[in-house]
Amino acid sequence: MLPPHLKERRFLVDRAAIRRYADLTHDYNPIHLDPAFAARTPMGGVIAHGMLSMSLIWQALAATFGPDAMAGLELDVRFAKPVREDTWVTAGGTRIGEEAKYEVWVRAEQNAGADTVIAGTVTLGRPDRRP
Amino acid sequence: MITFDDLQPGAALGQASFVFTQDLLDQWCALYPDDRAAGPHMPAAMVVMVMMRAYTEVMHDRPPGNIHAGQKFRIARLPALHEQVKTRLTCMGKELKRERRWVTFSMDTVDAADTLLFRGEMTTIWAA
Repeated sequence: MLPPHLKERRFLVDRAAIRRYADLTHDYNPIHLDPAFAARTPMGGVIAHGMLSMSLIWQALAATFGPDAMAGLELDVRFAKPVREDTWVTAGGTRIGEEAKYEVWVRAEQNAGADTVIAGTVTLGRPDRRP
Repeated sequence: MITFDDLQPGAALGQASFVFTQDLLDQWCALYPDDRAAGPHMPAAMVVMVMMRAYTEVMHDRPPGNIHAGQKFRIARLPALHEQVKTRLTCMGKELKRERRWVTFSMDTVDAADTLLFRGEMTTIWAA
């Protein structure tokens, strides 16, 4: 029986996390790291790598189903809004009907509320690969 | 610098190798401690490390200020510790829409037997 909700995961996106993520992925795009450059872009300032926050969706999935349940999994998300430095983000998801599919999201505690910054779906793998 | 005009849909752009080591796992888990539970296999979230390292290596001369707009992943199997994998990067398509330059790349990561491990599709707004 699949649970109705994913176990949520929370994370602080700060300058140190952004820098560490850049070093891990080799993604040194200045829009994430250079305040002077980022201020001149349409974003108006530094934004975090989208996948820094998206990684929490994987962790919510692993926390819910276990790390062995990833085979056959399909994830499809869009990055709806940027995440600024020093922002707490939370990832979670809700099952869609009776399907082995979840609506997933990452919400950021910014703009005096909980902004949905990443939204999409996750489809689980074959039933014999699920817990 | 690689501009929007240079990118050709369907073009194979290159490939990069990656070895999943204990040191890289430790570095990853320093940022995401929960992922320690995945051992001895790669945590699923680490596929972004494989993919982005391949992307930044192959597309090293990209313009500053690109924006990541969307992402898809399909996982068949995750690498085991010490396994070497290879990621092939292809330009899937591009489109000029509301004065924004949209580019989608596919990244197929395969094992030593050339069997697909995972596939990523990354949509970006290209800066130049």
